[in-house]
Amino acid sequence: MSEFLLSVAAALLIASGCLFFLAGTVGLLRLPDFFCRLHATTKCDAVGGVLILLGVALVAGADGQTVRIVALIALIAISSPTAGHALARAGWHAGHRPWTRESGEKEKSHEPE
Amino acid sequence: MRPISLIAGLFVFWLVLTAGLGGWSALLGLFLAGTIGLTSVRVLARHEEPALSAGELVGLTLYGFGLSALILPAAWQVLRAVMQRRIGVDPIVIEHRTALRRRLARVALANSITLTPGTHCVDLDGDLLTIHCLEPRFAEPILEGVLEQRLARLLERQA
Repeated sequence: MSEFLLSVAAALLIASGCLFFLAGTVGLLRLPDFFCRLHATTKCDAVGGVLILLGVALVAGADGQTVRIVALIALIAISSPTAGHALARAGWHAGHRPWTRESGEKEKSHEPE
Repeated sequence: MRPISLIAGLFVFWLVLTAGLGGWSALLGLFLAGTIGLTSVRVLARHEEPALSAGELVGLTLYGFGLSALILPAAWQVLRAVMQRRIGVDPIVIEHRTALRRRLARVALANSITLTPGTHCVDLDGDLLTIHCLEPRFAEPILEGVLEQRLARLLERQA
């Protein structure tokens, strides 16, 4: 019974992780500019990765594999915001200026119909 | 001493991930840990030494665990915004001058802001943080300085 519950919990975690990955990818395609897209990739992909790894850790049980998975989770937790910040900083210094609702509406009004 | 402890830490991390792959893998790990460790120390040595007492290290680790609970609501906000029929974002960029004095505390604040829902730290120049917010309401906790006060209590008691 407990094995069944563990499997269900693992499946839920992995499915949620996939959902967050999907949201990150949809955000990458739908959000209007570089900085907004970074929100999607930094947060959703990190959470997606961690949830999938937690699910895998539940399936693996308490052995050497779990230690590796915990190490990977720590690596994602540290590297994801740092990489996101490095990308945002590089974009900012390269002269990318953020999209705003106002600038988006202005652009739309200048588009030929 | 510092490069040796950094290289040792990186090598142990490599061994954890590659345990059971044999001697060549360990040798490769030692080479990579050495290269990354020495390069990092050379780059980081340009700045002040981020000296941490044992108490601060424990406090910062606990703070990190507490903060990791914030990333789930942060990802949820993005998920909600991108899954709507009409994209639900109204981004703004704010500048916030921090009262934190230590570089380490400022970097911790920048990373904390990136993990907070709807905000992403874009630049850190001295005490000035440039922050991209998905909506104006997400800027409020930063301007109120909640995270900043926690970090000041943790890292700047003696400074």
